[in-house]
Amino acid sequence: MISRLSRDDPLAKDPTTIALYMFALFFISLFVLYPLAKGFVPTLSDGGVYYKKFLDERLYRDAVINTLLMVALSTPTATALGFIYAYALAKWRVPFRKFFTYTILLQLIAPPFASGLAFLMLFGRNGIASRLLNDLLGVELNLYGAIGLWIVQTITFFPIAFLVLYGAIKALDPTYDYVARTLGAPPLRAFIDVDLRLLKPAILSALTLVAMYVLEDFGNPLLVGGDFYVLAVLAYMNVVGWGDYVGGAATAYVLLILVLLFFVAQWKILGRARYTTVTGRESYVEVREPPFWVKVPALAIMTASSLFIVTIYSSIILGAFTKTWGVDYTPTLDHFRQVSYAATFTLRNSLTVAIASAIFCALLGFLVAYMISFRRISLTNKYLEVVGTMPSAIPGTLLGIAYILAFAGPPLVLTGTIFIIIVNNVVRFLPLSLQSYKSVLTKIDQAIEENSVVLGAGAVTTMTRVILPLASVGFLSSFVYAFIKSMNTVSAVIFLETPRTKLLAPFILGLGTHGYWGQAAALSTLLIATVVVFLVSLKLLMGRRVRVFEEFL
Amino acid sequence: MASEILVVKDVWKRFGDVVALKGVSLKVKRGSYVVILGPSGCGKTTLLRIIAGLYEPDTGEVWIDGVKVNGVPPHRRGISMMFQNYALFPHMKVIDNIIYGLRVRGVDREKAEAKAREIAKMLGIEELLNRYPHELSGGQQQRVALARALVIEPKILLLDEPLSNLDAKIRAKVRVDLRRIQKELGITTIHVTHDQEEAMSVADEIVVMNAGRIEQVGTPEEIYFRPSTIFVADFIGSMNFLEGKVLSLTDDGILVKVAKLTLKSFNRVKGVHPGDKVLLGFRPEHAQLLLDPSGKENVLEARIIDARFMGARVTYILDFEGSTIIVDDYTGKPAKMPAGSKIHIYIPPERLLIFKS
Ligand SMILES: Nc1ncnc2c1ncn2[C@@H]1O[C@H](COP(=O)(O)OP(=O)(O)OP(=O)(O)O)[C@@H](O)[C@H]1O
Ligand SMILES: [Mg+2]
Repeated sequence: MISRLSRDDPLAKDPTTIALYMFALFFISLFVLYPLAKGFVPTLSDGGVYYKKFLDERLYRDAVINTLLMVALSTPTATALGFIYAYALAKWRVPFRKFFTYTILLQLIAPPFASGLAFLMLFGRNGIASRLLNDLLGVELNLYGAIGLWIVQTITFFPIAFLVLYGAIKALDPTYDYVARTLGAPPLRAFIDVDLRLLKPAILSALTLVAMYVLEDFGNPLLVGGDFYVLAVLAYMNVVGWGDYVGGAATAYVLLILVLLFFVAQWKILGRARYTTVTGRESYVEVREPPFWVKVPALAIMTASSLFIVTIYSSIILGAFTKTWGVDYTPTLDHFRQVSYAATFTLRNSLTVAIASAIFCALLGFLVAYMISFRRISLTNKYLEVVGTMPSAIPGTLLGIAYILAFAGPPLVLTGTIFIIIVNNVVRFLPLSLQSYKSVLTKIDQAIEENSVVLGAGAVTTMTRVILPLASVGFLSSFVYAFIKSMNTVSAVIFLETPRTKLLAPFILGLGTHGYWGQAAALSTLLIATVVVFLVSLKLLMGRRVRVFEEFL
Repeated sequence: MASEILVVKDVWKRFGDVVALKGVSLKVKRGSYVVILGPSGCGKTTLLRIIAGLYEPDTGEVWIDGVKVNGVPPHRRGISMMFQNYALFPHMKVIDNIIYGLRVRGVDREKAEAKAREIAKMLGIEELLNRYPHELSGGQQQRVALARALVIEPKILLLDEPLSNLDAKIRAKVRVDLRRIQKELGITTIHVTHDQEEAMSVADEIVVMNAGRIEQVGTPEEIYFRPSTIFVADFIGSMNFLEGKVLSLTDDGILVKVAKLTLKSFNRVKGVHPGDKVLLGFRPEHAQLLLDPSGKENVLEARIIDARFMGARVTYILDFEGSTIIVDDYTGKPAKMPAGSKIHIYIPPERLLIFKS
């Protein structure tokens, strides 16, 4: 990007461009920095009493410890599981490959709390597995709390690690492994000395990413955590249970601090661990099959995990269409009927919000990414880039609470409207969108724009008629990811919705926490089916240009 | 000790629908420098990797130092290999790259480093030991990769296009170094390339491959002067071909009728009988232009289509009875002649080759 600055900007003085640039600056300042600042100020009042609680009160202290404990437990297991899947699927001949890739895909497009919900239906106090154990062996199974949550978070978030690692392993030049072996290293030694070392940066970013997800996850701890409270849940209790918005905000800021600590740790460790791998034209590579004592256990772990995922979604579907889960499996549509009004109402809201969020997110992402890579104003470009990617490190809980505190009063009142939800989604998923565009836009030569300008096209024409079509892949993937995320997200919107703007995902979570499993399962099925139908129809409509996690299928 | 360190017996290898090797057999003498030469995609890398143990042959056997090594993993074969793209471990310093093979064998660090220094000195890279691979030029990387392959004292050193990533100037120098070091250490070396000049300049023996088969094995001179197939003749240097018919076999050679002429060759080919159709071949640099043909045998009369001054030589493009012939003249004797004029060329019988067609 440095080389780009050295050229004169053909559109530097174009009024429309300047206006759009200002708009982008204004928008992200107003909806990222402003609420963060405005939400932070009140938490400092009363001599820091809100933060003192974290030293004095057990509940608060424990929440910090529990949050860290859960990250410390789930991050390594989820990353390790993701690594096994990624390594096997990227390098080995794996029988029933589709079984493994599609179960991962399912985890990626379904709401994270679906796993928590199914886990309750199976292993909760009245879960069928628990009862079975009790009846047969008299064992009282209690997986509520840390252990249950650990299992659920591992199975929920390993696909995140998988995505990062799969790409890295695919890109790994197998020649290194060949060299190590011709130099005398046995397979395991070669794997440790070469593959693992070269993958270190990817493994670290997978760890950080998973840690982020675990830290800020709200749905599963609420469902499965029992009285094992984590910060996201504590913040929610503050706001919804006790009406203490500022206390909730303070809790969410503490969570933010933990997240930032993880980023700093990653930086410190990663340091100069990025290797420039000099790859040449080594053309063909035969798959090296691992020894059976590696392959068999790895495939066993994968099979068990994928079967578990299958069990999760079978339970949900079964629970949705049978009378009483665990007791009476008579097929019925009762659950759907009982919530049919709420279902249509919340689904309509969710779809409206998701589609609007996805469109705006893809557009704003384009605008910001375009400005960053094509306009040459170094200082503000940096600002756009940094603030635009910031939300990826901000827990949803925090951004939700900050929004209620910031937009309840002047200068801008948005509380209670559907816009606040949409804007919140747009901002939260903007970093993903920027990432999708970045890879596409950096490949577009600046000469293309200069050319268009020379031919007499205006700034907007150039942007929309020349650049955007070239970036259409980025647009579509931004759109798809933002849509899926908006349909499934809970942590921020749960604070922003009102009875009028009630959304499907938080509604399901509410049903689940109150033990309405049949109805929660029915609506989960509806939610997942909606997302799948949406994706499939988009795929049919647009064909190859829509890429949804396709690199590994 | 058998004199052959490597024996490959009737090896076949298939990748999907592509048959990369179709019955390759090869014997390599201890301490020799063998170059496998052939066009892109002919199976050179595949053969090398089968020797290394990175691929298993579908059928056929590989013997190293009297031991059958089918199924033996690379690290137990006593080979080492330098890859086309060097593949230096990017996360290790040069010194750690070089000693890697010793370390995995349990040699302690000090000893390993001492040995690495020795080799590094030989290759002139002592100063680079504390750098990372990305801080090296292409030529330096190549030397480091070579040092890494040599330090473990392999029985056989395998080099896959070791010079292809270097620019032309260093290539010639590195070629000389390679040969010198191989001689000094006496390591049997198998070197794969598609560059015939490179092959000629370093090899004790050249193995010419084409489309998964070995066409000919021989010294550079044999390959150049007596190519046994049309492919080899054409691939090594260039060759003019004429169609002819065998008239008779004589004590010292063979007589062939070409158009209305009778040409004599000292190169007999097995299985050719009077009346057979054959191809005659001769190299552009072996034909001589004659101003006065009188009294000589093996002379053709041709018409000049074009003559190009190339510095050290003049290349004549000629027409003989409808076939195009190229002749390189290094003598500069005939003053450049205009297109259309007639000229005589003499083909020495020892340089006229016969191929079954
Ligand atoms: N792992 C593989 N999978 C499929 N086809 C392969 C594989 N390896 C080689 N081939 C095919 O086998 C043939 C021989 O390949 P090989 O790499 O041995 O050629 P080469 O002589 O080394 O060529 P080059 O000079 O381009 O390196 C080619 O047609 C190639 O396409
Ligand atoms: Mg090759």
